Amino acid sequence: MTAQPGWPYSPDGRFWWDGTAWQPVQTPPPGPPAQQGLTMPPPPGPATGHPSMASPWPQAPGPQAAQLYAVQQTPPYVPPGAGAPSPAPSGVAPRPRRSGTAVFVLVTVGTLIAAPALGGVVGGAVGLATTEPVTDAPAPSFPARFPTGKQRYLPKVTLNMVAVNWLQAANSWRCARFPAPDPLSGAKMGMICRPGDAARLSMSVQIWYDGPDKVLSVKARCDLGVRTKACTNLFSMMADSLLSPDRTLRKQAEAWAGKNADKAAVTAIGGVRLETSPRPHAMEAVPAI
Amino acid sequence: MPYSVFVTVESTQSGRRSRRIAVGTIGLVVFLLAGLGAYAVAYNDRKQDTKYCGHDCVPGLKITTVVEALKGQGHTCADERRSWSCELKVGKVRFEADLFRAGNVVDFYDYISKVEARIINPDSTTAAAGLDYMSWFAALPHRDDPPTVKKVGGWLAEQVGAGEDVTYVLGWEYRLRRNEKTRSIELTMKRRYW
Repeated sequence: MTAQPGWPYSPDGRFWWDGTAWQPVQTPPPGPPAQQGLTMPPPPGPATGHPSMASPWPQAPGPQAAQLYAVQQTPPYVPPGAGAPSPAPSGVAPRPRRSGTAVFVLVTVGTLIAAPALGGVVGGAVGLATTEPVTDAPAPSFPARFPTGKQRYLPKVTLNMVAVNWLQAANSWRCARFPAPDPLSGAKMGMICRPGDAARLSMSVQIWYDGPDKVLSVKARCDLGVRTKACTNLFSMMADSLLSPDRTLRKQAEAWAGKNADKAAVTAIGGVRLETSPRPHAMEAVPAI
Repeated sequence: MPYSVFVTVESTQSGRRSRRIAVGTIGLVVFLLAGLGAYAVAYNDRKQDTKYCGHDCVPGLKITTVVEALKGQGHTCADERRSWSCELKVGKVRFEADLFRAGNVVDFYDYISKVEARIINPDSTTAAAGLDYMSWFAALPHRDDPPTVKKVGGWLAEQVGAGEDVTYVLGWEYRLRRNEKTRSIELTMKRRYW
């Protein structure tokens, strides 16, 4: 049977639909058969392209209308000899190749638009939901010389070393505790020691401490007058006593106190800050920092 | 002929299948790439929110964390509602720090908007400790940025022995003042936007 122009061809172009069955093409079609149905404009007439039409036959005599109509009404292509009946009852026309390409392009473009949008939304939501903000980072480490609470106390100085060994045992001084803490130094406890003889009204040593081995400051006061030997000795012995754990430093401290007992001076020896003043005539020892 | 038709139809169907697989694969890859990108953006955005905490406070560091760290160093701290005050007395020298809350930003009330660090009665023996004390506070906003920390520390080292000076480092204003009457030196650190 000779192929008729305007009738649908199979996707491989080897068969054409005669309205009831697929027929082999004896003469090659003039062009890609699948393109014909799409390139033609729709034929005039009320029945053109209407999906409710049941008849596969074209209503209009023109070849273009017949072609388009046939495209819509031709059953799916089943190659002859494949065992299946030629006209499929479903009435669904085989999609031309160009239509398949267009769908493929549309699907691809749609995917390229939808996939990143969806991925972005999902990824962003997951990122926001699962990322815990660092709202409480640890404090940075402290430099080596950052002032610490341990530096509040005179190094290696104990209450026993000052009050008992130096003042009470060696010089027969008497000591009394303060009941209240010191608002200036913040020490929890205080002690004042005085000589047991007549000089008790002119000499004193005050000790502020938080515990037996936590001495904050030691202050000696001597009202016997500047350049008196008793005051110089008191300051020298105090310096010697506070630096007693280190033989070298205790001599250095003792010498410095004897030399500066009658003037305003300050030094730091072995972590102990010594400061003398003539008025009031006193020497105070605090931690050096 | 049936065989050739079958092969043709088969090759057409397999071509469609491979197209579908290709489109699906591309879609999946694009989906994953976009998802990863969006995740990274969201992650960084989340971190950045915290990092700059409204551009009004020391980033990501709670005021109580700093207070606890100072307490661990033996400093005594008290909550003054609008700020925390910490101090340490070593002999005659007093180290004082006022850490002000970011009160104007609700979400960052527990963070530090301003620091005033003072050293009262400093003398020649306290220079090193005083510099380390102030440097620690000055480095808080830039603690993850060693070059900037070094820059701030260098400026402090220069100015501790000099008079009043002010500098700006990455949105923070540093002002160092010396008060002869109170025998103190004070560092003020706060946010600046210009």
